[in-house]
Amino acid sequence: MRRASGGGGARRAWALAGLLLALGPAGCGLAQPQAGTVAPGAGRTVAPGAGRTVAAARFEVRARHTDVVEVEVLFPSDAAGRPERPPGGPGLPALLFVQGGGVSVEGYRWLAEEVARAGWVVALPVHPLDLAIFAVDNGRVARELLLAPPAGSLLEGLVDPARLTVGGHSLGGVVAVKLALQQQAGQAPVAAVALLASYPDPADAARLPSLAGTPTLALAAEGDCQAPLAVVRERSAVLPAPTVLAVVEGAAHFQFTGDDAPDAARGCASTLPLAEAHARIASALLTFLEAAVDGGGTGAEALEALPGVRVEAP
Amino acid sequence: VSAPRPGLPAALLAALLLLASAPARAEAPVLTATSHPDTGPRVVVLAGLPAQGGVGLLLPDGGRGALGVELVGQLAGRVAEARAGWQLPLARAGLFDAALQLGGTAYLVPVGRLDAGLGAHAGLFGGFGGQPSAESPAGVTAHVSLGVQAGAEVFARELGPRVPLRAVLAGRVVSGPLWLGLTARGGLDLEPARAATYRGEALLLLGWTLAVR
Repeated sequence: MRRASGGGGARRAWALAGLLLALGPAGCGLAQPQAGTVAPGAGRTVAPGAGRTVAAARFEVRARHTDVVEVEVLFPSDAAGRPERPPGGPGLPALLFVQGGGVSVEGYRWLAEEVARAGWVVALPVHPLDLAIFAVDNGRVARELLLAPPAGSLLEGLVDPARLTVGGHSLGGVVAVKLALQQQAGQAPVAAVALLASYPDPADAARLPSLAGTPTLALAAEGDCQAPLAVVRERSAVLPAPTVLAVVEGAAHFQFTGDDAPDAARGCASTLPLAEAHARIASALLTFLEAAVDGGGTGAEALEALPGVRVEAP
Repeated sequence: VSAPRPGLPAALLAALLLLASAPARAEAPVLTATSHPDTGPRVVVLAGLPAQGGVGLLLPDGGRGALGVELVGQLAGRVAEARAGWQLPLARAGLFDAALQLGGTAYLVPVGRLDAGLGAHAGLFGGFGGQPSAESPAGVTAHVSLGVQAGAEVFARELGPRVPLRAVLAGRVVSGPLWLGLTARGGLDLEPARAATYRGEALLLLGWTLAVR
């Protein structure tokens, strides 16, 4: 083999390039914030903690050896964006929420804020291309972040591991079920599963009985063209008890997100105003979550009493 | 449930989007990931999606193979990689050829929890195209390869192993001392007790033939 010319200079250039490539990444550490950014105004708050301040922070977690997974976290906070920790209590309940296909986590910011205003910690893991199915493992990473957060970060001691729930919209619901089924040794099972306009992957059907005893909500939109009510009804029938199927009357698929324009683009626009749809969705989700972590039930009776929500299968 | 609709255009779109995704990438050596033995020694600059960049040296062995050495910084994952690959030509018939690649990668993860890793990789490539520049120094030649890469990687903190599997499409154009390459890779990583992670990357390679003595 012939030798390349440029001996000493080339060696120095290689050494410098190697040094820069090795040390360059070290210049910026992973984000493990101690406080968040306070979310603007209460807006259309429906949560029991109306008026409570909520803050958001973006965490970065080292995962799969060489990856960095971003997790957006919302939580009840003081005016400075520091978390409001329950005095001497076991920590706050938490919802790990998985984004729907092609919808950014920002699209669920409204829902996360509503849930956080009710005193919950909400974690939204970010996925490649906003398609959770490409990296199901990101949800596991977010779960570990909530249960074993970095020392000194705002999440330290904030979450009650026994009241960790998972949920997701659309494709995110499919992944949420997979996360609930991914029970790690030594971890408490998830306290509840919430599927918004979604249903389990048929490939997971054989493992679903292991969720028996875990309260599950299938929250469908009456006018959904992406996850039609009939399909949600059929596919959620395989979920073990206790499961409740609730229907948001008049709502459409993308009204679970912050922008329902895609419904109109697909010729599936709802006549229900987005704000009203959000109020119904947030009320139903919170009613279920509170019932699930407080008493292990689905809150079917309370769901039935909500305006614009009907329960089909308690 | 909102997922990509079936059909070729959607699949192509999804593939393109995957290549542009921030956390998706592949780590086997790339300079020697072709079926075609190069000729002149070259220094190469690598840049690609997701955010990454580096430098490399391609040292051919008179048409009998080539050694490629790469230093790459993965900005999205904040990881530094040193890769080396050896290309072994297997067969040649007219414009068609095939080659085996054997290589290794060393990782340094300086951000978050300090970590390091080692990987062994193998690839098999087939392709067709013109002759390398040394045989027609004034002309423009081009070559296209299609292949697969597989590896096994272990890390100091969490052993793994991580098993990357990739399909590789590589194009090379040589004009005088200028050497231009485009490599796209897609596939998945398998790891015990974890869901598979889908990966992809697109790399532009710009090389210059070094003077030899």
